[in-house]
Amino acid sequence: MKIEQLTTFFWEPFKEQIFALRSFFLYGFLFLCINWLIPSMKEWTRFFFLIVVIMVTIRPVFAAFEKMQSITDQLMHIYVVLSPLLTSSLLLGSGLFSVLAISPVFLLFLQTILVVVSKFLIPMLIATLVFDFITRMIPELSFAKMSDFLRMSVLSIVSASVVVYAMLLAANGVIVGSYSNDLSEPIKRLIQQNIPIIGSLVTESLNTFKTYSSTAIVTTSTGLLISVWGVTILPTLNILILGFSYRFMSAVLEPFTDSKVNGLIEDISKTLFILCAVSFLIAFAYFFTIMMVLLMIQMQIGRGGA
Amino acid sequence: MRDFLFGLLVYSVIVKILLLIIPQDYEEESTTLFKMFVALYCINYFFL
Repeated sequence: MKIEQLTTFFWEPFKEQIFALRSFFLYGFLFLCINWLIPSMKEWTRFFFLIVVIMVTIRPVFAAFEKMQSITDQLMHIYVVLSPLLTSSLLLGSGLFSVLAISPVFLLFLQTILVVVSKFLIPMLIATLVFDFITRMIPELSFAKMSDFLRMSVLSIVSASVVVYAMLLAANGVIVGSYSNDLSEPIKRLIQQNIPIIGSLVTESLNTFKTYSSTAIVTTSTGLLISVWGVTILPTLNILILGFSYRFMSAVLEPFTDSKVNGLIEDISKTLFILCAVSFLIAFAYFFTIMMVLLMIQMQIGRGGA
Repeated sequence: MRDFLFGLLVYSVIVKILLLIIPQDYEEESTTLFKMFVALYCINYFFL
């Protein structure tokens, strides 16, 4: 049953793309027939085909955006309630929390990240999508540079935040690496080369996660840590697969469609990869929140380790 | 920002339909006119 769920999880985005492909070919055939019957309608059918592409492709993308927004909002609501509790726990049990490098500054940083993601990064990425659509629809009114600028800005903010995460953890001495680089280097290079745009960011973020986990294991069990890891990383994986599925669709459509349609789908995949980078930040925040709550409960119960 | 983006999208669709309706001979002039219209919309939203 679990394997089936996992297969569905990985296969669902590709199934959606295959459905979209089928729709494109159907509409393409219909519009070709119209072109053949009324040759003067050629420009109109092209325009309507682009509208069809937008309508069909946008649904999973907006679902992904909505999911990220709702996760961020939920975390923000949790912080409103938990902030006073966590801060007082940090002050009371500073010894225990210092093992996991969690300090009030770190807590403040996590909250700031959530606000930045919710209020700036996700709206900026939605704006990028709109600009991409307009650019492909009316090439004379191009917003290509604006959407590139927005994408790069979001990526820069995410990279800077990951660096700050690493710095805050390193300041508490947690992130002093203890695993072999020889073993991980080929895997890192593979990810960097094969995940477009955000490959190196993914490896660096995972590295921070991994090093942190090796320290966190002192106070929690391995099974628990893996479960927390799994839960926090799932939305990110989902968006990554969606991004790959759009890239796959763009590759399949390339020989049959004009550059407008193909380019639009590729732009959407680029935006999804950036959203994946943003979701890493949320995954971090989610992970640390769960760890903090776990520690707080452990402290309340009055035992050091699970 | 949401209103601006939605407005921009709606105006772009209208502009595209008008460009398709207007005869090809006047395409350049109408495109310039529509660009000016979109620029005015942006200025109006952000600076006024």
